[in-house]
Amino acid sequence: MRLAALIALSFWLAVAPVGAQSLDEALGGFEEQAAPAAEASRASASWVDVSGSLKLSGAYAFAHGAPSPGQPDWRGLNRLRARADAAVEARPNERWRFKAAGKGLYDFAYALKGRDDYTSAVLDEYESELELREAFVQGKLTESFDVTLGRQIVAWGKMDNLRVTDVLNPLDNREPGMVDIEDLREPLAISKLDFYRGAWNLSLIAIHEIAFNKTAPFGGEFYTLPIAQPREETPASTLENTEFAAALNGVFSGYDVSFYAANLYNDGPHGERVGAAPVMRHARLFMLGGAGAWVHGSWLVKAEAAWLDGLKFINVPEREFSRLDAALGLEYAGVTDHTFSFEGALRRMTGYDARIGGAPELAEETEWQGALRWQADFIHSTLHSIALAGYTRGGRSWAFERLQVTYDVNDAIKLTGGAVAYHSEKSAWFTGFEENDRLFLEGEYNF
Amino acid sequence: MNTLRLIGTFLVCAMPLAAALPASAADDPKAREIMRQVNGRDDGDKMTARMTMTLIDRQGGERVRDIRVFAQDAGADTQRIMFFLSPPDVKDTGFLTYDFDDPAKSDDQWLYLPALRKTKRIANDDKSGSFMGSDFNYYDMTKRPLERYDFALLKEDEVRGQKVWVIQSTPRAPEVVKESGYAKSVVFVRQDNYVVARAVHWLEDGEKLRYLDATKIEKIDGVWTVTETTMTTKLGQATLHKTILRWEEVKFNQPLEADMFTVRRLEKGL
Repeated sequence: MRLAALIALSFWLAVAPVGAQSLDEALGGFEEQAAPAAEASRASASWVDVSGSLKLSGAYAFAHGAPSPGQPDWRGLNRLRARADAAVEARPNERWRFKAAGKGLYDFAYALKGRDDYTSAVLDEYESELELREAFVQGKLTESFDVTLGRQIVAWGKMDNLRVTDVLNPLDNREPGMVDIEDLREPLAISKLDFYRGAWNLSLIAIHEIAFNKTAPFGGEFYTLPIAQPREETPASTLENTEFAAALNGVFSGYDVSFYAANLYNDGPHGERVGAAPVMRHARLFMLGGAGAWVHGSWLVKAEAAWLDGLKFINVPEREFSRLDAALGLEYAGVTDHTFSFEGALRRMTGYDARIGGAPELAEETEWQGALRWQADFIHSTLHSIALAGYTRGGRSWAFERLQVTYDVNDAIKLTGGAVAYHSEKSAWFTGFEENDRLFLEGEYNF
Repeated sequence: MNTLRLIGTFLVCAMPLAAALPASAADDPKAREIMRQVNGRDDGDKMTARMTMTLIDRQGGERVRDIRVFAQDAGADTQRIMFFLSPPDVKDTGFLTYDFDDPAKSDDQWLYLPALRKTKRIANDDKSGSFMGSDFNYYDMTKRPLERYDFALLKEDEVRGQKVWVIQSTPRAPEVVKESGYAKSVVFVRQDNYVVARAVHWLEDGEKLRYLDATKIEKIDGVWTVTETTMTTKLGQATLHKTILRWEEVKFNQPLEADMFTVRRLEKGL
């Protein structure tokens, strides 16, 4: 009996909540030793700052079938990429700032698997890259005016995963679901003048560099058409082709609002018949839009809408079309260290003509998009996880899910691993996309 | 001078601005009056400082965050902007907060993420989450209305040779526990200057305790300022994680630019 009581007591002591300890015991828990004497390492206070990162990443595709003769084999290792990023930032005084950044990469996977199996377009796009990213000067002209000149990214809108009003910088869509967030938008040569008054900011923007979304080239893993696209014409970056945009942003207690207008080229090309051979061209669009974000407790409600006019299609060359895009987003951060978000978008053509549903544009009267995202931090923010699912239903319906986990080994090194799964409709105009499922792993050193 | 809570809130961790409020039966008027003195003391205005946050895990591994901090009073409210200088992967991230005195009004928070080149509004009434992976949570950084707590004077004691009052604060409602992550707290208030020298927080789950220790207290520009403090999370006698905050180059009454606490400045960086 006494033994049973002793065992029971031992068990209770082992499992008793610490909260049950006495107040005096709890108050006596301070560590008397002083904090470590070693001073923490400090970031440089120099007016010139150099930073960057080195990355090694790999991807393993596991859903491809055996290739047809003469076709590249996308199975197995299809990325073994070494990449370096560097940025220089100078702040000679409190009013002016200069920044330049670039990246270079080489993917060893193509050499390892045999370069002869890939088209030259694929090798050009994916095997190596040396690129100037942002390079701008930013200054505070007066208490009310700022100016930013040079290659830069101007992000519009409140959505994190879907694009409605974020129309200025093109995207890198060469590997959907696999592009690092910092690479998603492509910088352009832009002049931007900002005027501030109270809670409002007016941005006037001239885009001098004409460039469009980067997409998978013919023969690439994410190229889904059965034939090569017609030749694409890109307008020259001349004075007369300059794109213009303006934004009015208001920041208030509990909510932010923005209004946008732009006159710019459509990032997506349309077909035009020029003689016997069609070409892909970019229509000049006029866009009016607005966006807002409202806070209510741990909820963030986001909304965006845009009216796009001037859309062109190869099968109805005699007229231009308009489209209304609208999106609603909800984000919840009421669970400690977790964020859940949903974004949904609707894109609806006005005066729809069934002929524009044909190739190459495949435009539907109504297109839906949705994105679900969960983000969480664990172990004192050393472990970060993201789950993202995206869905598009339209002329070409597709979806993907991405799950990734990042572990901060220390302040400089992090490891990321994850998986992406792709799904798509069965269509003659959309082939192979669902076979791109992959696992990925990346090591990153920041300095 | 209005109350600047930036440093104070890192230390006080359960004590808010004073307000004359009806006390419950469990409330000790003397303890409440001490807490009113704590919050009423001059803690400076228009402050600039550099904050180094060292995170120490159970194995002794260290991670360091270097942050430039600016804060000012706006009437009864506090405006604060932080720029992250290191580690490299969060460099240039900025965090702007308007901390409202009115407890019914949610704070305004914006985060500038350089990877996105975009400022994102943050909605988060749950302030129990870790601040940047540290042992401090967001609630530790914001004011806590006195009317949400009962106070009891437990005893008088000494901390590093200074006489202190030991006061227990107990949330009056479960919502406060959920929002703060703390079931109750005990604070050690120095009798000579009303600075909180130590505090113990009982985490919501009831098993872990957090120990706040102001290890260095200095008078800067006439303001008693804690320039080094630790927050240690413990389970029984075992230390699970520890955070050391060091404040350097602390200056008050600085001529801050008019646009310092705006999204404009947040996006331009330090």
